[in-house]
Amino acid sequence: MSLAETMLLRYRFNADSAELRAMRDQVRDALQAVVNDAEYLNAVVLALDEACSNVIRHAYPEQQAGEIVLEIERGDEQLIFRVIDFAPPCDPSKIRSRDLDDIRPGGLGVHLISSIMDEVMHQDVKNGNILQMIKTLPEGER
Amino acid sequence: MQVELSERDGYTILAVEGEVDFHCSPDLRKKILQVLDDSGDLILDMGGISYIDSSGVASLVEGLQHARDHKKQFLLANVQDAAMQVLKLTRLDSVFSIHESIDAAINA
Repeated sequence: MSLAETMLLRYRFNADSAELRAMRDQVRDALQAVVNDAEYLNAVVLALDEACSNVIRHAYPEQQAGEIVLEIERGDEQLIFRVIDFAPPCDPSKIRSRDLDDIRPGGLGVHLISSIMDEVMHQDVKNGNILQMIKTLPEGER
Repeated sequence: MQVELSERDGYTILAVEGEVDFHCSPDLRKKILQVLDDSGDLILDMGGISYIDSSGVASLVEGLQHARDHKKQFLLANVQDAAMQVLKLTRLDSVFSIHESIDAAINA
């Protein structure tokens, strides 16, 4: 039997680094009832934080205030995450992971997102961008 | 994020507490580089870091490179599970000198 997708969180916040802490708390609160696996939960929080940080850093032109909407849905066996912004379209080819053998500061966020999530899809929509990420729930919690 | 400095056996110990993210990692980077410039070898006590993101890890990498350039030691101690998970995902767990405790770092 297939369960309908259930919205666990829809959180709208200013694209400001000072808001990241509250966003992470919202994600933890929303997922604690669904996921008991601490490593899984930490990884998901990290990936979402990296995705939102990238929007704050790169999506909105400097000095322009913007917002981010974070959605989390539960499917049968997976969690679906969407980071939605209202910035000009971004070029997905510029969102790339880098060679980890090159030990230098920076550029690790995209690698973390793609390592943690099972699927990562970027869509530019009429008034912004959507980064959709999917991760299978831990065994025993599906 | 809060930081506290102390001295022990010739090392400066920088104890960090809280969540290290894109908002506060510039402060951590600045503090690490300042301690390395003003003092000698540095042990970063990560026992109070409950969360760190890639920008926080980048601050640690910059500290390590700065220490190497100035022939100083930059050691990590008391790394908690969540931070270790990030170091492993970025394959930096083998790059840093990581110790179970401050004592272990001093005696390494």
